[in-house]
Amino acid sequence: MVEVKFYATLRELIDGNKSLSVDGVATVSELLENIVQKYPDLQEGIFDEDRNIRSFVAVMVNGRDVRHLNGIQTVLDPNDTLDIFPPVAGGSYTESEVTVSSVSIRGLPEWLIREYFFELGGATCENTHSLNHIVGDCWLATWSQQKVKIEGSSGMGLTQFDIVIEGAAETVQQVMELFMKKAQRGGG
Amino acid sequence: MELGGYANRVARIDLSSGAVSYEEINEEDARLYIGARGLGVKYLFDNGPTVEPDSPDNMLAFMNGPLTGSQATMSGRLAVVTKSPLTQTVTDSHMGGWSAARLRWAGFDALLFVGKSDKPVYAYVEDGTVELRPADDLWGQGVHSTVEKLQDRYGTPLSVMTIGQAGENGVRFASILNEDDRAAGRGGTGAVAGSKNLKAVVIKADEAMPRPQDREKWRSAHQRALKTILDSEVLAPRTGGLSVYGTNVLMNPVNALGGVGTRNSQETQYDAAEKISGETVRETLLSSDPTCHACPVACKIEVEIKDGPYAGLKMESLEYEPAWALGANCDNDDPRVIAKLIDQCNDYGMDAIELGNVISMYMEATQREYVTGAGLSWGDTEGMVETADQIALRSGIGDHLAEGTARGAEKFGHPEIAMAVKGQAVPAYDPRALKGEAIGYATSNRGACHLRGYTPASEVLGIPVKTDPLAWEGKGELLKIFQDLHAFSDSLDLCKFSAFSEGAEEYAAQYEAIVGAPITADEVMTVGERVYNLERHYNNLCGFDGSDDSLPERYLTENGSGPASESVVELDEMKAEYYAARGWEDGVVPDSKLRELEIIS
Repeated sequence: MVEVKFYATLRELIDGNKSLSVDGVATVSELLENIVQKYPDLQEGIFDEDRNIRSFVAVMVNGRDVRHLNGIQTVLDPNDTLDIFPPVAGGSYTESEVTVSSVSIRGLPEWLIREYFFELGGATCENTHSLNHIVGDCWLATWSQQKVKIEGSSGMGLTQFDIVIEGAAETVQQVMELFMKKAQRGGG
Repeated sequence: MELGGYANRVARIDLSSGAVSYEEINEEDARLYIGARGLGVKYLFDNGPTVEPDSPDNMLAFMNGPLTGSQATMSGRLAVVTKSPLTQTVTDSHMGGWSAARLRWAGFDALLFVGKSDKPVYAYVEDGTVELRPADDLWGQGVHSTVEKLQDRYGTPLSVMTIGQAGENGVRFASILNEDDRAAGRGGTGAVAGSKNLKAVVIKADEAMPRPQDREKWRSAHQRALKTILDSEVLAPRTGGLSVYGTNVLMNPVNALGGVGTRNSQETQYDAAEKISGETVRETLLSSDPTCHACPVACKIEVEIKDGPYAGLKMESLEYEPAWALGANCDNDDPRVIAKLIDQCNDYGMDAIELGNVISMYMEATQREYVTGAGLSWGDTEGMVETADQIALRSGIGDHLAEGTARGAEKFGHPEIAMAVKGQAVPAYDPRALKGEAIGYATSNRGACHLRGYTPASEVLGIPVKTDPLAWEGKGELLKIFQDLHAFSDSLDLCKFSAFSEGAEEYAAQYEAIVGAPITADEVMTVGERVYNLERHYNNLCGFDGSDDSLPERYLTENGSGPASESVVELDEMKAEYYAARGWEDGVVPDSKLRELEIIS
């Protein structure tokens, strides 16, 4: 019996219950299908139009977000506990005026630059398995890094990433805008 | 002065002589440090960093920013800036509601108090003037009674920022509250006011929102910012999590992550978390959800207790931090008692986070038999309420505990049971489960604080992206970004919740339109970096360095619970990454960085 706990506004979608017990499911994906069948209103609360978990919904297995496990293919143990949180957080994006196709960035770690490009629909290249090579729909982002010294600070430096985005003109402009938005936001 | 938005009027009040003088804002300082937090720290810095916090030489600054009291969304905040008697660092504590707006409408950007009055006084502010008036009949009164008396005297609407008995008695974590129970909560600003015999600041003003310098730019900037808020799933009025449940919507998810410190952080999950969660409070206690100037989110949670020993009590606001500090942290699962304790803090004028930690420290000291006398047991709710009274009045054990968590633990001979950094108690995110806060608490310039760099936005809420809360790599660099961005918005002064939907571009656009000076998103981050470094430089001059960027031993050597059950904090590695990102040398800002940021020439 896997226990699934629901929170905040999701509870109204399961008739005001706080949790459900589910049998006979081997993965998170199967579990979600199961509960959405029983409570069709949950469909909109959890999934987007492409049947992916909505970006600000958190599905946790024993306190670990499935994004940091194996996604919805995460295998379940019978004694596992799931917690599903609705979007108690979210952001929306507005258009900006930035139109460059290359930029140098400091103060961002590489994993975060990569995360941003993943968020914009990119993925690592199967052929190269290269971590600084992200491919999206009609765009490609690559970057190199260099240590930049701060004058007179006896060797203290920052990592600077020189990022290039290339591809269809309109898409490049859009991707660069969205990427810069994320990179500048830093906090939200 | 060329810059718009500002009233361009600052009052300097010498409480020793009673003299009040008025001056303009220094335009160069305003360009470099903006207002509120940044400009306040600059005034404190110019006042001299090595003053004693409880001496007449300390400055107590009430600081607006150029956006305060304007049409800008979420602009109803001011910063109280001073040298903290709790941490001995510079500190800024922000307050919401309507007093900041009213201070602006009365014609002021800032009120700077130095000296010490020989008799209790309050400052009366109206129409561009400040007068000191006797406060003998108010001294000894709690916040609520003081506000009531003054509103009777001067009529409403009236803003009153006042201390209660805790500030008068020098409780090191005493706060300042206003007429809507909004607090400048942390760092002991109330104790500084009390040490100066300054009871309150009273402001009489009608609404007079300043006009933006550039109306066209303003219209589009304002719409853009407001749209992000209305579209946001957190902030959207009436539907977003924050609006519906208040900040206590965080109790359940943080607990699921293994981040709710229990019994003075001896464990990090609370089995009764649901009972004190935002969902339960909304169901059982909520009576209304008020708001602040210019804010559509209305995140406050006003409750009414209907049964039990505190039946009839109405109070505001049941937030996540005190629900943790006075709830899970003390093994108290009764939200009605949490409400009662917060109300005591609101009336006596004390920081609810510090109070919760002082009490949990006392409870652990009792558990381990470090106390002579009866002590206080886990979950003893009547005892908690009584202890809060004693602390505010410095009676019995209250005199010892009024010194705060760190000094209080030292006095028991066991400093290791204080969950504090630089003398200030930790907030509601256990660092073993949320590594961003590990480096965040350690490096905050005002002692342990979750608001200097709110990394839970990323680790819990997924803004800008969901990062793995248990991973430490990259959190130092992420923290710097949050710290700099928040330092800027704290200087405007906009509510930090705006950062759940707004970013550097939105802040830049609003600043440009109201102030009439160009600023890019990059420059926004540079200003934030400058403010953060000025604070650090102030502290460095007071003797703080990398050794003070520490964490309680417990976080480094004892595992957490649940998903954090194999987790301790990798502090040295995180500090190395963070200092590299900052360009600091073991927690000290080098002169080259100070010059680069134009802090020194």
